Amino acid sequence: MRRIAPVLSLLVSLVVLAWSATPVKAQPLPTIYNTQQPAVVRVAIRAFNNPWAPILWVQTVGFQEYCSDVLPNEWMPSWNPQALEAGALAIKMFAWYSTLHPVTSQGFTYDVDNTINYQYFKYLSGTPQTDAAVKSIWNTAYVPPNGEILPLEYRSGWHDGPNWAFVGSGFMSQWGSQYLASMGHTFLQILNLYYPDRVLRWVS
Amino acid sequence: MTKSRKLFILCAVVGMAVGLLSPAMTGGVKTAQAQTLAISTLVPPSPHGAPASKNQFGEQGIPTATLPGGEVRSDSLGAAGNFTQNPTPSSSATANHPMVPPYQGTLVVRVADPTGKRVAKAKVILIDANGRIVQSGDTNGAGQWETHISYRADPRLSMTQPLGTTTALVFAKGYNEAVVFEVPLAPYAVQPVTLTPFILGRRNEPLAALGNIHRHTVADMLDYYAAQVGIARQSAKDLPMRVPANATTLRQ
Repeated sequence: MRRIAPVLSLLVSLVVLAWSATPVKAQPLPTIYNTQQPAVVRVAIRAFNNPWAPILWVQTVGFQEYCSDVLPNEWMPSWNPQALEAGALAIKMFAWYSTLHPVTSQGFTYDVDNTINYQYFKYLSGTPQTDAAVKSIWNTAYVPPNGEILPLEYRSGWHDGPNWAFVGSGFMSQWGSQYLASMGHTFLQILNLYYPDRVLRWVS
Repeated sequence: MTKSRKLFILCAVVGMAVGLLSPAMTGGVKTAQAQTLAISTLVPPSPHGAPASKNQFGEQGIPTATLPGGEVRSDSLGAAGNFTQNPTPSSSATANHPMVPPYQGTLVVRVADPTGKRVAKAKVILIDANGRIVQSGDTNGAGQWETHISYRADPRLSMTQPLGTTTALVFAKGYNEAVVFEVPLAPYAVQPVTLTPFILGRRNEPLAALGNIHRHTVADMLDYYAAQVGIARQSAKDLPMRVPANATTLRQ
């Protein structure tokens, strides 16, 4: 009996270990192949678009409407249409990713806020030029080859140059996109420069 | 008459003649020009090469409204006022008068409430820099009022493109009024306004807000004036990889 006890306890330990080590069923990677485009975006409204201001309320807007009300505030509406389309796609992918990763803060649950914490949003600020750019890219996504939904980050950059420091960095320069578009680059060529590991895909 | 007395009288006559003639010939005009030049040198030059017309006082960008019907309003207080600085120019001189706004633009004012509901029949009044009403109108069923407007470039904001400014007052039944300062005017400008609802028992005071000035315009303004005093914005040197690791803490 004394010999059996350690063996029995070892067996029990092994069984418990095996049971606890059973792999948890992993969440599937959100890709454009298994994830629908969101219908709405929950936008936390901070006073005066100030990233440090408290949240006043959460506004729910349509996904495309959200993008249309971000683009004229992130890119200048008077810029080249190809720069606007590059910006529209970056804004869309950033928002799509954010809807998959909501946050709760100050008692509010939201996907993005209306400031440069995320993307600069002003309700009803769309212009004909920027609305057209959003519509023209709406059935596309710019993703890694496996289709994973990832944000396309961007920064202001500076005037009159392609902003070489941004090229290949995974960050698009807004002023750089305008410069490249004015030099004749298409929105896809612009995106390829700043996000070299992504590809254009059609989505419904 | 002694010789010295004759010389004295001659000098007095010559001195009086010179004193009478000099203001008309040179002195007065030169003084006015010097004064105008001195004032105009205080006005910052237009950095983008846009026309920087000045009024007769050498001031830049004093707005005068040209209404769609062609009526030109001076920057005086009007017929009812007792202060008239600049008379209304005659129609023949209108085209080249320095007070005529050189740019034509479209301003779209969109009014909504915090839930996103568009506010129809909101009254929008546009005020120029001299406090005169230049235009007014009501929003349509989609909460939108669109108007065509003439404007002068505001040298403070016109770093990359000529931008004007106006002040918008918004009134709507059931909502607190709003005053939006520095509403930018451009070939096509959009100004969203969010009105807060009138709630019984609350203070229900008007809201003051700043116009929809673009982020890039703000950055250009900082760059332009920083360069004039020999400093620079630090963000111009920031690269993405230099962004601090805690840059996302604000999202929490």
